[in-house]
Amino acid sequence: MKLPKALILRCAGTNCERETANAFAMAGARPELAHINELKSGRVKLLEADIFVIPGGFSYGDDVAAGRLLANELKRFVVDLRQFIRSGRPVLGVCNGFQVLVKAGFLPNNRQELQSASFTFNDSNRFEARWTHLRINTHSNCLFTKGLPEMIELPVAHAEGKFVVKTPKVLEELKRSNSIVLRYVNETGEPAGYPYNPNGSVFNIAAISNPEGNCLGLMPHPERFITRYHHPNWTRQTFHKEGVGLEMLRNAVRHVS
Amino acid sequence: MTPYRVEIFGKPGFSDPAGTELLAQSASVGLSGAAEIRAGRIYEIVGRLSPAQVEQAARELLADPVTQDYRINEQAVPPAFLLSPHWRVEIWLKDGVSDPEEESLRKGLRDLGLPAPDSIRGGRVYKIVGRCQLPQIERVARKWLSNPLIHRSSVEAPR
Amino acid sequence: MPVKTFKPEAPPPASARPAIGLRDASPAKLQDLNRRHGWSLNAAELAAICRHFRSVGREPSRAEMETIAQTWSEHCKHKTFTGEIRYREGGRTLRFGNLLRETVMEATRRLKKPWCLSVFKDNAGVVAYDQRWALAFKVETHNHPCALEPYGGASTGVGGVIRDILGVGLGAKPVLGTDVFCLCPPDGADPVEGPAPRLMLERVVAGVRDYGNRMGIPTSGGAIWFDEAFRFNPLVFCGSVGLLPRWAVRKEVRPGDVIVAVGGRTGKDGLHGATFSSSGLHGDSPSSAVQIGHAIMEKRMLDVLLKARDAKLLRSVTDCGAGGFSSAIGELGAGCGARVKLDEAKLKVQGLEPWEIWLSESQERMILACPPKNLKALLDLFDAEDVEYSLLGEFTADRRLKVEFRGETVIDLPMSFLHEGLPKRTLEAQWNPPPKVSASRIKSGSGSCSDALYALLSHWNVCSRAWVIRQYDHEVQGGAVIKALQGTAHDGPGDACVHWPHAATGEVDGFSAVAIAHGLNPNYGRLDPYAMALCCADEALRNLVSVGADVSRASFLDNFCWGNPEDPRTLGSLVRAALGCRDAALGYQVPFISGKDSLYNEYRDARGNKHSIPGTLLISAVAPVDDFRKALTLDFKAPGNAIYLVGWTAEEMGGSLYSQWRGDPLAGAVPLPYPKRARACLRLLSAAIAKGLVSACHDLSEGGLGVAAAEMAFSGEIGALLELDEVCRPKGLHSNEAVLFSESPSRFLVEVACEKEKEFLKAMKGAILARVGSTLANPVLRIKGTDGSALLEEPLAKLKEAWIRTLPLAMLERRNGAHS
Repeated sequence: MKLPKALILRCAGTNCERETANAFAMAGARPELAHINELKSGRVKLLEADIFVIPGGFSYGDDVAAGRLLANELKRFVVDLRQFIRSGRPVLGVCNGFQVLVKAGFLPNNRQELQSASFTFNDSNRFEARWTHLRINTHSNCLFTKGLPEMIELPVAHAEGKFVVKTPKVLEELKRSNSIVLRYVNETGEPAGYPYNPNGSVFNIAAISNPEGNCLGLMPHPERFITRYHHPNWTRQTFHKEGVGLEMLRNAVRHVS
Repeated sequence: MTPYRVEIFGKPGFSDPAGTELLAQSASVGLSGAAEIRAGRIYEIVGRLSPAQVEQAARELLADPVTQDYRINEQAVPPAFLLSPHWRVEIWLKDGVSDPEEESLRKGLRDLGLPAPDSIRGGRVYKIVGRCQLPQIERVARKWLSNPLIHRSSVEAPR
Repeated sequence: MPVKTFKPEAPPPASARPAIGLRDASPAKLQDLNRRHGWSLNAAELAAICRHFRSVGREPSRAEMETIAQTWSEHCKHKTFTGEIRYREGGRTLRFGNLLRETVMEATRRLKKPWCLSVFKDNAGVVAYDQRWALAFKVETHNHPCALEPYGGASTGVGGVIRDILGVGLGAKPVLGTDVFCLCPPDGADPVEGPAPRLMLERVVAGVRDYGNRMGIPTSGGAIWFDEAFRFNPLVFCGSVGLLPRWAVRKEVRPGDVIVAVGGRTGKDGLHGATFSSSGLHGDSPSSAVQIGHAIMEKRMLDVLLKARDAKLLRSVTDCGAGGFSSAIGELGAGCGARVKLDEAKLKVQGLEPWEIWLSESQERMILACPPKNLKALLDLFDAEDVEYSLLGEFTADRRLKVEFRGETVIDLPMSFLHEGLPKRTLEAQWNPPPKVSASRIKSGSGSCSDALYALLSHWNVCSRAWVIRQYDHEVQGGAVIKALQGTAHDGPGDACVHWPHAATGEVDGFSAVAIAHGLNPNYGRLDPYAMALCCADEALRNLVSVGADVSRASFLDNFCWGNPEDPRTLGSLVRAALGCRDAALGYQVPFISGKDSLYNEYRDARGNKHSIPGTLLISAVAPVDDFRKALTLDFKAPGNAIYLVGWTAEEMGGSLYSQWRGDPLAGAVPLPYPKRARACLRLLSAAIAKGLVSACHDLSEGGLGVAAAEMAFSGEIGALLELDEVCRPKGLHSNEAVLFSESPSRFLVEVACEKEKEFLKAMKGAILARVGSTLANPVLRIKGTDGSALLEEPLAKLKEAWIRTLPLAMLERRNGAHS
């Protein structure tokens, strides 16, 4: 059987591509790293992939603003990427990839890919690397989170992770369409302030998808929780059989297998 | 050639953690009179770009369309720039100190299809509202906000 | 030493290039030239250069003088460490022909570990990791640049050590960054002179953060030491661990190989970095020595160089550090020769002098030796990812360094003169031990053990480092299986980190990992640098044991930061530390594989007063963890378990935190490990952990038993009862303060589940240990004194609060409100 191909985009400053590729391989996909220049030259074709991933990192150093340059560059492929998303194939933007999807206008979803949300600096004004408690919106159509427990944990690591929206209407629409996939919460599943919400995101949003649920952007890193030994407390717990991040990727692979 | 100066500040309603942090630390840096501080960015572009092209660069590259407003040279003041009389501090890398951001800025312009500038560089701006004296502001600018070895700073009194 | 003579050479240089009138200059004139050009050469060195140019019948060019000054600088040649030293201590005199070779390197030679693949020659030490992979480790300092510009200095320090790893063998992939700082406590005072300590800490951390995070290399397992003595001379150690295939460890250069420069462009940056860092700091140090790192340039270069390595396109790689092209090409071509056309170099700005291009220290550049047949494939790789390069020339067989610019020869030097012509110097060293102060002076004072415990937990050198650690992306590359922050709330102070390097190897089905740790304590060095060296080695190994690493396969790195070695007392203390390193390596049977020194760490203030740092030794250790599923954290795991104290507790309070708290830091005997005895114990404990017999393990370091017990308890939110009378100690030692806060080395506090106690004791047979208490469900730390009476009982939450608040308070952290 041919394994589904997960195309992982890289450019100058991408830095989570290797572990993302390893994670997708564990999840049963055939990962392929592609430099943005290879997409531009046509050597690699987006529409030949089964899954498209924009991994974490500091694309072009996050100069000017996180993900801005790569988002502008990605607009060249707007037709292909729009078609890819509409075909229902999984698209995943992690951390910097989420910032890119938002700044390129693919999330929150709208017809003209107009940017309606953004990211600003964390309220703490610092880079924050910590594990977060997340609550899955069980009404969401997101294919990545299907069958997962409602409460999960994943690590975040970012400086510009505060998700904000252009107008209150954008947030209302995200809520209405069940596009908010993950929210930062405390141990008991309730929204709480810093440090549970590590960046000050509006409505404690950690991840959003398109209403169809195949295009997911999230600040936490699923590829950093692919074995139980990634959890910060694995030496005192026995209940994690494996990483919840791996389950998310498996869902994507299953979807296209 | 006169340089274009593109200044960028957060729109009202969006947080400004750099300004907020400096305000929180104002007493310890000898600026206890500060009542409000805003932090922004400034870019200086020199080259054969038309005003419309600089406008495009500001809109599509330098400023975030959701959270930020920009102002080119002495254009009309957008809402993000309204503030009571304030001290203005600018921090720039000195000429001759390599700016790691320059390459990305050039790439950003190229990707928009704009002509290559002769030079483009980024700096920081602070606006400080409050009862402060010039020597205080200068000391903060030189000691806490920059390193005179590699930065040049300028201070402008409230108008 | 004999004067080297050289054959007369080709015609004198073209008239157009500025020659320096050296041959007939008087010593005073030579010194004047030396000072004006900032060469930092001494009289004997200047004389040797004059002799050389007299023998070849011409004047040197500016470029030649700058090349020689850089190559012979303390920074590049380590003149003190490789020079002759006469050392006096009490009645005995020792002579060293080459201090480094006769101490640190000698120990490695004698230990003959088969897994040492490349030591003391390449850009980093290389040891075997497994059958396929080798591990490279390097730690170096970037002190002087950080003193001037902490953000730029720290970021370029990180960039530099990453290039060391990228330039070891045919290139290793950096998998872990680790950084150690010695700084002035950020206690809020804003000094009139010098940088504000708070800003220094903030900017150094930001520099490491912004470079390391952008590179996608996890930063973990570092350390910070706070002491007022580092106000003007901060120490910033940047470390990096990398993995490379074992076939790529060897490098060579053959005549005909193309010299390729890759990465950033060459500018006026950092001229005189090498010679500058070889002299003390003054108020008017040059700003050209300061740069800001460009991480994405380096990341792009890293990505393509590893591709080039795997395609086997390269014959050699090295980084451009201090001395730029001069140093990199000079070293690669030392055995054969090189011809360089400077016109080919890509420049940031036009109008650079040839010597400036040659010596520029612009960051993010590497030099490659590429066989001509591979050149096209290599350049295609670079082009595909927008990486700039220039073809600077080729390696030759004539053992000369020839550099041309605009058709003229600007440098023509025999490699032998450049690399071996440096006259040896003899330095005087003297060690006078400080007067002994009895420990009794510190034990009588007001304040209970409980007061002391709170004070030590909140002390600069114990308190939580979470404020720093959380700014580093310590989980990128997905390998952080034992993190720096541990315990129920993910904030306990782990002893070391364990990293699973699957992002480098691609092997997600294996369980082998790598652990690194550090040992550093300049306070002990104030009493005895020899003891400090042993203690540092002991601490680094203790930390490795505590997380479950295999210390029988550990390796050490040394980093010596001292003041002016021309002061015999400073050099005496340096020699003593080097002797300590030798004895530590031999005693623990752990080889040193690489190292670095940074001397002249002194500052002359506006009034002309000299401030020198205390001699500071950093020993970093790396060891494999065969199965990370057996790795360990420090937090107590469950109530009702046994607590064992492994090791012997003596009254060793000299240089301890407790003495410092008492205001008499030098009172008492300095801790002194017995490496042979300690080795056996470390290995027994290591084996017991590998068998899964231990639930939690923490080494006893600053603050001793009291601090360690508190940290284990509050990290696990599990209480503990300790009975001090059970502690293995000399007869007649009844002082609760001494038992609780002594910093005797080679000790661990260990939690063992009741059902495993018997097996644990069997496994530890032969080690000094005692059951000193048990874990409690009640979240308190309860301690009974040596006489059996209740000594203290403190709630864990309160102990933790004391430990956790120091740094955030000092850094004026805003308490973030709840977000809507």
